[in-house]
Amino acid sequence: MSSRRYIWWWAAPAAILFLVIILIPFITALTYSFRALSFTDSTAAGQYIGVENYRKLVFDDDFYNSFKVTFLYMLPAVSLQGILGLSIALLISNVVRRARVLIPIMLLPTLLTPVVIGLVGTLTLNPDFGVIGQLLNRSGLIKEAVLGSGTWALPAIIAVDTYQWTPFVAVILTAGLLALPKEPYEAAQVDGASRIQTFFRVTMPLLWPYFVVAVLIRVIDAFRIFDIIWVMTRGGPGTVTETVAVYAYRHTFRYWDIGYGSALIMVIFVFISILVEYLYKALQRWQGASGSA
Amino acid sequence: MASITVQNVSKQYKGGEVQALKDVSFAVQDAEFFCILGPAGAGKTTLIKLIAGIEAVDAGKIMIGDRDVTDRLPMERDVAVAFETYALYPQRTVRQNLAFPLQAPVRRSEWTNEAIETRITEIANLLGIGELLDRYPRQLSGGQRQRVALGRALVRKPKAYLLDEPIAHLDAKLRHRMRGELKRIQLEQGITTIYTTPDQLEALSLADRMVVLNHGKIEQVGTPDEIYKHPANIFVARFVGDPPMNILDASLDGGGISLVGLGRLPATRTSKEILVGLHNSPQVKIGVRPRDLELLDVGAANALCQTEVKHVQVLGETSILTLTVGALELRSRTATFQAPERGATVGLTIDPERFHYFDANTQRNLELFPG
Amino acid sequence: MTSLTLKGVWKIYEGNVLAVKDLNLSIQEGEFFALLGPSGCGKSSTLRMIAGLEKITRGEIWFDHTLVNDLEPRERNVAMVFETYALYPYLSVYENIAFPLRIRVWSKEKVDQKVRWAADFLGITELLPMRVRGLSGGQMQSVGIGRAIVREPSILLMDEPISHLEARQRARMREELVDLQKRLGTTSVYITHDQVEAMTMASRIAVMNLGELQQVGTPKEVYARPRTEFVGGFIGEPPMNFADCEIQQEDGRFFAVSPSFRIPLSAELGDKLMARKGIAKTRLGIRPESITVSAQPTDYSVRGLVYVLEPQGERTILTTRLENGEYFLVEVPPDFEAETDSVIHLQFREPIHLFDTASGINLFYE
Repeated sequence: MSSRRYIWWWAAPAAILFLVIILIPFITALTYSFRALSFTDSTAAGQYIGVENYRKLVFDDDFYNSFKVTFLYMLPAVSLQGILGLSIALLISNVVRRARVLIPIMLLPTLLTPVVIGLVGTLTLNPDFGVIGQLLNRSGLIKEAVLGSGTWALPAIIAVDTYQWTPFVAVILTAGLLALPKEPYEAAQVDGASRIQTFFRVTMPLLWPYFVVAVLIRVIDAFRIFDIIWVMTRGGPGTVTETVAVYAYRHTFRYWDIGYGSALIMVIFVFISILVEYLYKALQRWQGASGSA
Repeated sequence: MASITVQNVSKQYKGGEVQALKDVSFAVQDAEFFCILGPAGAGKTTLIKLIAGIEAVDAGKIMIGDRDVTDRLPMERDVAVAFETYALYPQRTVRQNLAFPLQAPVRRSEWTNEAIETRITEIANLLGIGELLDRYPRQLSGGQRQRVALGRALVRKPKAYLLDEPIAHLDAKLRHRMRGELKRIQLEQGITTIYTTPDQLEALSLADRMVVLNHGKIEQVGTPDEIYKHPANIFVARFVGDPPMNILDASLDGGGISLVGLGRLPATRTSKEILVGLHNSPQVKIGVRPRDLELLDVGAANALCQTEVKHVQVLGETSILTLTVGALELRSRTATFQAPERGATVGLTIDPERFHYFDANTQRNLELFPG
Repeated sequence: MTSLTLKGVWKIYEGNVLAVKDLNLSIQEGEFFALLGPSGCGKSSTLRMIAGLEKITRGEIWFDHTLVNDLEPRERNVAMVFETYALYPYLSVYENIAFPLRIRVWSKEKVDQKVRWAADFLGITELLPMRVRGLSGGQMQSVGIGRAIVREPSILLMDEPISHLEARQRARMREELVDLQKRLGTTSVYITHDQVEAMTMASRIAVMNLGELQQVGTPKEVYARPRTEFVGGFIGEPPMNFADCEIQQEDGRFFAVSPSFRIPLSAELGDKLMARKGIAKTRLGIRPESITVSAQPTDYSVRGLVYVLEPQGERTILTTRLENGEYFLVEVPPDFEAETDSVIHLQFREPIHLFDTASGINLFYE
């Protein structure tokens, strides 16, 4: 009787969970992508159609547009969150050592559901009774309703998203700052580095891995962002704020073209995988070795 | 109380990339204090984990007593382990940490609360941690934590103690005291103990028998006396003994021993016997312990050669001298009051009866493994 | 070549934690000076005050004729080798060594010249292009030393630089560091808790305990003439044996007496005891190397039981349990054998040290 083997039974619950929640839905979606399945089109009743959906996808200009929108949103959003997050982390890292309770407080926006944030955002930006909306309207900066504006809808989404997620970035970077080894700092002091030199030559390189983690998480999330947009603009006006997730949702759960929607999802998935892989390697290389000894 | 037998044990990590242990076999007798000596990375900790059952062997057998425990979980083997890295329960006080093993369901019947308290006090006093019993690990220094970890292993009376560098993080004075105490406890309790260390002095002073491990392979098994006096190969010869044995190139012939770079000494009976066993190649490597180097006045008649004193390291009553002869560097152990000054030139000689002979290619001890 | 003087230096941390108490040291130019003591003795704080990483609570630190109390580390021209190397992990070996020079914005050629000189000096030129991460402990430490010497500092500070290396590497580094310092000629202060390191490397040692200076002297001096009980017990391995005893006089001879022994003291000690009347109780210290053993009792031998034998190759250490329950360590020849718990007789040989029971000071320290 070998008693080592029953250890595998302990892994069973997690394995089942993984199967049910992740693996099975994924494979199901994959199979749907090769089928014509639409609740609005009676001819599409689930028959196998090979790569038809994918062929349709290649010529779908709206799909390409949604990618463009996603990037237009992602680049400014991630940059803002990174810079603001870093600034906040630098400011509070000393205080946090003594007042750890600050961290959950800071994270409140991140902990709220995006739907709530979206609703609050909508109300706040309303030009008639929202605090910021009124400010913009009366001061003459933005005369129109922000969320209905072709020019300002996407920046508004970026702003609300930044509000929700900057604390998240800040917390990761704060944890990083607190975990940095003290010795290189002392060595730099003795070597004669000024404060600025120390920041750029010691802090930033040591903090880089944390930075990479935060940025990659936000990049991946950019392709998933849905709730805030749907609540605030439904992807509009027009397709101005229609990111890939919103677009896929539209086809799958509005038009009920499940087959096509699944194909869209698959392509998005592959795209994210490649993007993250490339981005991760590039970020690693840009800083040289990853992480402290 | 039990013997422990390790048979042809191998262990790999990273899918074959790292061969931690290769075909290791040795036997520990009941009630023996057995040391596993080896440099960092030799496989000592891996061996402890395998004997304890924390990890499974890739090949081979492990027996405790006459039971084959190779597939058994740690709790079925009845061993107590003290880790070098302490592995204390951070949310429990020192007292609770020490009590924990005795409260395991397996042992509940043997240990009443009273018996546990008595035992804890006993061990705590032994290790000098009596006043720390109500503190938490995070409030302790590294040395104190290590003693708690050791205590947790010692509270039980298992079939065997497996101690992985249990006093490595104590300061020199404390380490010294603990060594003596450990040896004494083991003698009194008669529990089979396996003790790993990278410190050859520790192994020599503690072990009844020991094994020298290097890169996952056994170099030699034997009593400390055997290993010190008759090292099986050059690695063991240099690893055991401080400063390390001096190794010199030499060639033998019927009349004498020619030490490269130093000079010629008359042959001894041993050197002649070895020469016979060597057939064609008279090249050997000769090992000389530092204290066997004799320093004479400069220009003395019986000197083998002249040497310059490059370093003098005062240890106390003895000093370690670094001597140079041409490009060669030798180390000697000399009484401080007799030691010459740094930079002086003195005469050097060695008694050839104190030589150790090693094969120039295989590096093995030629007296143990002739030819 | 800079001399280093500490005058009445105190360091008190927040919450009234006394780290260094009234320290006076005078370190010569070009000396390899060791600060030795157990953790918490104040050696780290002292080194950091010399470096400028900690403020001096009271007192003065002088580099030659310059008072450096208020100077920042960068203004003091000191360099430090850290216990944990403190390398910049994302930089190559070359860049690590070049760092102090890049901070000062030296020209590329000058930097290159200096870095190569330092690497060559330490024999690590092949390591220059490599990443710091894959290096062994000894190599990393060499890089740390390279970074320290590249600026040619006035004073070189070393904070337990080899404590994390393996035994073999440590032994080798000891010799190399001494060699290096001789070649450089830079005044060096080396802190350690390992008395072997201090003894084998330094030209003079300052022994500290609980913030106070115990003794300053050459290795031979602190070994043969410990000024305090602490120094006697800290220097030397295995450590000195201690026992409380009374001084008795009989027929003009002096004896050290305890429940475990009755030892005659030398005429020299006797003369000194005569000069210092009124000493009744004292603490006797004797090194394991100064005790011999025999199976049979001899004049004034001390009776004990064999407790533990620790053979160590070159010698064996015998722990003996004396009548009074004290444990005395004795150095015996390597082939010495005896049954555990058998009776053995010890002979105490000179030098015998007598320490004041209150202050711990060696009663006859000149």
